[in-house]
Amino acid sequence: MRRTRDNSWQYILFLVPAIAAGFGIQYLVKKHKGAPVSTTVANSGTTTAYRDLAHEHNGRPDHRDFEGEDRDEDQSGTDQAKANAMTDDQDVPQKDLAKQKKVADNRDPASATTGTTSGATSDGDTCSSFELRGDGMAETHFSNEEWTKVMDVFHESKTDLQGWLVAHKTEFPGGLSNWMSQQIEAAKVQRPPVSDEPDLSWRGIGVLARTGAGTESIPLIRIGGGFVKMVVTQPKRARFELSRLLAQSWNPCDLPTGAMATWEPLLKCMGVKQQDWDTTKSCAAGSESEAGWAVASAVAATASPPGCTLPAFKTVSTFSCVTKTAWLEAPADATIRVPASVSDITATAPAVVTKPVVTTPTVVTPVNTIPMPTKMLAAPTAEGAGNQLKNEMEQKK
Amino acid sequence: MKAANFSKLMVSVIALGIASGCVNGRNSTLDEIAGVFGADKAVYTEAFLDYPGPADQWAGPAHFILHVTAKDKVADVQVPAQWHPVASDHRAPASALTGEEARTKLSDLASAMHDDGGDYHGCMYPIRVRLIRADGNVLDKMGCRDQSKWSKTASETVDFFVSHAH
Repeated sequence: MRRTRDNSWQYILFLVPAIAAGFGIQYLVKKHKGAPVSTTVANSGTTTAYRDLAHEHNGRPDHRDFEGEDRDEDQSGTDQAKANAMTDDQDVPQKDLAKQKKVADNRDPASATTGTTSGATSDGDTCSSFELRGDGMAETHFSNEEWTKVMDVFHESKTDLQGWLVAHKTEFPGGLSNWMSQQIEAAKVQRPPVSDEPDLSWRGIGVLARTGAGTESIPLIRIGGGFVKMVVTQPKRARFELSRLLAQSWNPCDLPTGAMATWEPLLKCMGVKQQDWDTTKSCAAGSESEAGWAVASAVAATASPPGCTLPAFKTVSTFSCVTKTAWLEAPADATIRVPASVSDITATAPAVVTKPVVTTPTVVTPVNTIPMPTKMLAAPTAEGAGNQLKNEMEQKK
Repeated sequence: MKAANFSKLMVSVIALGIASGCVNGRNSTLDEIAGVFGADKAVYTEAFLDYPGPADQWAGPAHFILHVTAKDKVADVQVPAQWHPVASDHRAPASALTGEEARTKLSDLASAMHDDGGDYHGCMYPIRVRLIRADGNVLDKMGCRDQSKWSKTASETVDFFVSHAH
């Protein structure tokens, strides 16, 4: 009897089914895993988890990423950064401003913007969320003229806030008001696209970050690509937004130790919940700062009016918190007072200049030397202020 | 003796034939078999990247949420309607995005979220990411722009998916 091992060619009989099995397995796996397909984009097809999450909360090139340059005023930027700025500006395709504006205007408001096409909604003059979409990291281009316009508005916002601070200087202890002034003075805006937060290249918003370490850090505003469009098409709203971003550096949670309670009277007056203005809670680990939005919005709405009224200030009593008594609106031609130097943090007679001086602080105020507020903001109670304003309105009638 | 050597040679040929015949792109069939029957259950196949805005009364940045589904053949990216392409867009068509690419990106984000033990406080720009694995387990984490280290990875992930959604 002959055995298989004696007839090697008979191994072919095993080879055929083995290869067949191999191809069979491959076919099954391919069928399961699938081949590359193009991405589909759906609008409102949401899963339960998607809705839940929405309900709970009501490898690009690194280019043109530098801090902005206050041109002749900014003494802090390095020569290299400025050189980069010049180079980058030359690299940017020069688009016609009017043409780009026309494109922005021709966008379908419903799909190109969040909120509305202007800062005010149709139901009167109420502000709503406003955002123009950005074009992504690779497609974010704008001209020098447009960037100059952004910087102009940025400086106007700084001037607005410095003027507001001068008008309210007596409501803050000297050390604190000077620290606040320095925050505005030193703040920078980062030109988009921002490689540190590339998602912003698709957005039309700005966010406040900080650059530098510890107490020497300074505010850094990062803006999305769409924000430049807003400056071109809605300069008034953009100015308000930049002022609000700058004022966010006065977030109660970011104030020096011992001064965190400074904003409490205003927040109470505005009806902000205690859990949001009580810094022991609102600034605790893992906390979100409603107070920061309240303070920044109130200050910016007063210093750089957006041309519409924030929903929070639609009620008479709340509006009076930021417009009456202690919260007097700074005159448009207010002379800006800033400390002669940062080291002169306790100066009683600050130098007077006609425009904000943008310099990098060489001396940072030690946080433990800033005195506690000697005079809390004399904001009226919500009820009292509301009655006062109602009486005034009735008298006018 | 000759027959035995020939047998070994034939077995080797068969093995090589199966192996070479079954190699499929970057992953071998054996790799994919492992994925189908177990390893893929630990892969993140769905994600929600959420940038909640402030309360409406402040008229601040709008709520932005990105939803990615990469469960099988189709990589599905959902963005708010405002980020859909419009007639005036002149960008090149989005390149194809495979489910595998999407899962890899989500895996990178999950790694960054696991590695970052940093905390935040008084946040004005929170971010929430929810990653869902094939076996149903969920990785849910809150963070803050500029305070949480992994927020940069999240931002890059959003940029990646939004760019492929156009």
